[in-house]
Amino acid sequence: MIKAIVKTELAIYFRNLNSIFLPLIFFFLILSVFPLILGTDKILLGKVIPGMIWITVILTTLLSSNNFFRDDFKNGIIEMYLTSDTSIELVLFFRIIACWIFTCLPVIIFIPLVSLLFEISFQNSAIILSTLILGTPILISIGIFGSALTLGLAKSNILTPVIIIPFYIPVLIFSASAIEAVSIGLPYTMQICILLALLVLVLPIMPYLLKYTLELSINN
Amino acid sequence: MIEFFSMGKYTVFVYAAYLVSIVFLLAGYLLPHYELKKEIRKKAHEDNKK
Amino acid sequence: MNISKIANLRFFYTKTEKIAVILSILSFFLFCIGVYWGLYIAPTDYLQGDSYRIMYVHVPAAWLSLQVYIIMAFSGFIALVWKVKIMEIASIQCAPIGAFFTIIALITGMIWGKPTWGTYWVWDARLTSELILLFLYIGIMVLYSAFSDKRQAVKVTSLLAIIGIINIPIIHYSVEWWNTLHQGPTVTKFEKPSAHITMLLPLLYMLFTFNVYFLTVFIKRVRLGIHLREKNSKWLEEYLND
Repeated sequence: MIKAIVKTELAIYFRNLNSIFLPLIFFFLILSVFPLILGTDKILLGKVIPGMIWITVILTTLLSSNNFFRDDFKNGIIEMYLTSDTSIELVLFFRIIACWIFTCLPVIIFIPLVSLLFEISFQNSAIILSTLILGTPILISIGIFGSALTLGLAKSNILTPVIIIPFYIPVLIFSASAIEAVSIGLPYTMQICILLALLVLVLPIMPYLLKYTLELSINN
Repeated sequence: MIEFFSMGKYTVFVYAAYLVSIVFLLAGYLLPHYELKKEIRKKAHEDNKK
Repeated sequence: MNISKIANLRFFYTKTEKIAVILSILSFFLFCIGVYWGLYIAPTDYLQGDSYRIMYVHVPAAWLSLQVYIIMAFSGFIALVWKVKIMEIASIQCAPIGAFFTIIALITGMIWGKPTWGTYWVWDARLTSELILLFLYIGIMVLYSAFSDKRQAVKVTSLLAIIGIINIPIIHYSVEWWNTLHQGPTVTKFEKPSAHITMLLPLLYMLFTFNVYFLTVFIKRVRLGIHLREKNSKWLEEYLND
């Protein structure tokens, strides 16, 4: 049963190979805009690069998780979700993971390249990578929740970020704090633990919350 | 009365803050007040038309 | 069961017309007394001079902005679980009230900050979480207005409000902890030494006054909400015609 779900998910994503690369290209595009705006002062860039990476990651996850339920809503698959007798939470869980694999994992894989381009030290780049690995699943889950809240609404492209970004802020604060702690030399284990705790809390609950939200949003 | 304005250098700030809060509190009250009146008037207008 | 729920709205709408007027006059007078008390009778502070008097509007506004959010989330919860109509109306009508309180708290906080600490804004826990609270309120109001079916809108915004209530303490403590990392155990922004009773009493009074004001505006807004929802129902037309 799990195999079937995983296979269908992979099939959906591989059918449209463009969508795999789009988030990655968007990430690099936005990241390249920052030095154009901020100037090429290496010291300044070195100070803000973790923040830049995180803002870009937030934008990428927000925009790519926004459309999670859009096609399903148009094709009436959501009603099928809610009326089927298979455990829809399991399907949603694997869909969330698949979304993460195909939107965030490419970005994470390319972070070492980014750290080469921006001359980030090894420890900094390691902590950036860890916080991203822990944080992006949380961001994707919350973004998908936002997509479920604004199912079928017009202007949801700008509405969903407005609603969802306050929920991104705790992840942001702890990641930024961890990165700064490493760059100063202070201990960072607490921040990592809290990020891990958030991940373990949000990710399993999200499918149940999503099912409830879909029931609310689809009721006409 | 003169004592009211003798707050030293803080007069402007204190009165500005109180003014802002009074403005917003009033606005918060008057908005539903006139909105309801408008709705009632609209309804009476529609009922008369019928 | 159905009849009692509809009668609930009608009961509220018809019975509270006079109460709303009385409460609004009451809150106006209470507020006048409070302003006079805070600006004139309360003594000048040794440390902060007279600028501390802003506290008499700032603290109640901030307190109420949180209280209204809790009321909004709570009534939204009741509306979601038990589908009580009046709770649906109450939940969404709390949002603009709370947003106004948050705006008052933020602006008066900025005005207070300038003479006292030299800056209009600082990214500490309290101010930042108040700002995020404003964004939460705005998000709820915008989400509500994006739906054309208002009954469905209330369900979705109630869920958002309930999830948001978890967010507020997380943000507050994370920013506070983030800041203490920066500054270490320095002087906190709003020290609360044992305040003299003559300064504390008007504060408690203003808190009470703001609550009375909230009750007034809440009743007015719920009446507006009931009117909008029950525009075409018989009992409303009968009531308005006499």
